[in-house]
Amino acid sequence: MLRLWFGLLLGTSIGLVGCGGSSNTNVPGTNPIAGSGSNVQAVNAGGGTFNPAGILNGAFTTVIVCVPGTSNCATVNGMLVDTGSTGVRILASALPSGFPLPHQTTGGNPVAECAQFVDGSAWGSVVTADVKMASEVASSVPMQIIADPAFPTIPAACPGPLEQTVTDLGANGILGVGNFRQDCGSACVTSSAPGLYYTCPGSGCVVTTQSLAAQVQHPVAMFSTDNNGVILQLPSVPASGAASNSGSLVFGIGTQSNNALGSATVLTLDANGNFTTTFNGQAFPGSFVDSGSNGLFFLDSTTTHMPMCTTNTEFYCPTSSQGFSVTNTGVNGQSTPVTFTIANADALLSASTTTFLFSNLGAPNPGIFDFGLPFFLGRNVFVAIEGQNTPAGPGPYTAY
Amino acid sequence: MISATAATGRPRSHWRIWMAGVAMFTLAWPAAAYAELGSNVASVEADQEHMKGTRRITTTAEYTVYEIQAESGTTVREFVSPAGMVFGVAWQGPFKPDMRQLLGAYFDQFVQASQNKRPRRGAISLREPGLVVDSGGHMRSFTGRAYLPQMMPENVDPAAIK
Repeated sequence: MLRLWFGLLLGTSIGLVGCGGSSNTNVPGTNPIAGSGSNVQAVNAGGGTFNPAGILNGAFTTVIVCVPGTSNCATVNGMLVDTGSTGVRILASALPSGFPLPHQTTGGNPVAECAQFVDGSAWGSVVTADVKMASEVASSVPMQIIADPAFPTIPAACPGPLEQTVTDLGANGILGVGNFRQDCGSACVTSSAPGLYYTCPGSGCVVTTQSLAAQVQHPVAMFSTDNNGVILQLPSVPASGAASNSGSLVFGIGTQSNNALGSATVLTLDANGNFTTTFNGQAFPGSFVDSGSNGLFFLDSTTTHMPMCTTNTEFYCPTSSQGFSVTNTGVNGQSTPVTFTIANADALLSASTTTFLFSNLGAPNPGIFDFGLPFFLGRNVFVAIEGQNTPAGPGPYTAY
Repeated sequence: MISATAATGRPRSHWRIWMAGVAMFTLAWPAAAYAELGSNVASVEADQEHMKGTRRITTTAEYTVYEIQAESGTTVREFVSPAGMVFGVAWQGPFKPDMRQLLGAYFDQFVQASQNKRPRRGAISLREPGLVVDSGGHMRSFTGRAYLPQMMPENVDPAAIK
């Protein structure tokens, strides 16, 4: 896979796919995309110089981070837009050498973090920065510098797979704009057991508790306006995929003329940020949407009757494209259907070396539906932040 | 940190040497200690003593499940064969368990196989020789399992390991 995907990167060319024009939010391919505005951040998906590791099905943007209260700023591109996590995380290598973002301290010692992603852990320092996107500013945001050279010793209890490089991370950094305000929440306030936060005296880093305000924060929740959530808007792609396309990350839900919920169905989420997906009469309650997942990760070969690929061995390879019809239901009882197609990943990925966006790339995930980036192609997906009020009530919820 | 050594009252390294063939690590154990995949049931029983009131045992005809409610809020289940070996582990909750500790001697194989799948992002589903790992979810909600097909008791459906 590594060889194949870097091969794809070398052959990259950029194409654009036009935007749909109507407003039916539940049918992929007809979603309106905000063109500009004080709350509109440009997003590029697919292959191009904005995708530094050449990953498939990635959506990227550019974030400006500044030393708090100053005009000493750095612009970081290649930031993966991730609705499945919370917080700004930037590889030290993507910042100017020695860029002086102040380290957060506790008891006089600097704070570091072992951030947990589904496919690995990222180790680095916790700093504060003013974060700027579109015309919005979040001041003194606790964020993470991954692989900060000032903290080279990774604790044994922060095990891999570690994500300490552009290749490991698949990006220069992660823009976590999910449903939670913090990356840990109340569990880290009272206990060090989650294993996320560390205090680092000269003798070495040890796990510690961390107050809510000091935890790595959702940057959008710290904007002065448009701070109750985001909408990720990406155009659809044909069944054969696309090289790339461009869309928008819109800040706020129902706060301006360009971010109304419209006819979107609101699915409120459980305490873990999940809704229930029903397939063939069976309920899978740990399901979610996540733009940082680069496929549709769901169930297993036995349940879906799709064999695994022989070349791209972690993906599904049905002999012919297979359609699925499921229903997503929120804690609020609201539900909405989703139909999608899974194609043969070996055939898809061998057909073109310049295709980076696929709506029909699927892989196993027993007992769960993880609606990754393919789900977002052609849909406007609303991500409401926990505890923030919106016209449809407080988050957390997913709406589309 | 509370070490498993203190909980058992006998050196953990003694057990490791006693179990020839199991790779050795010296590790600090977090408050919620788990048995290692492929290890002996003795380590589960040591953990049970260490984690009073946080463990539930369920026995079927084919295996025994030791369920630990960890302090982090995450539930870990360990599947032990009649021969006394941990052939499967599963986890679910807001934070990932210490994978190095949970997978024990199989941790390095897990990491290597995961890295071979990059660059990609999302759930991990590994089918390695002698090791199966599924890891799904997202930040603040993690679900997964690992099992050793060669150690599975007869008549056990892998789907039961969850």
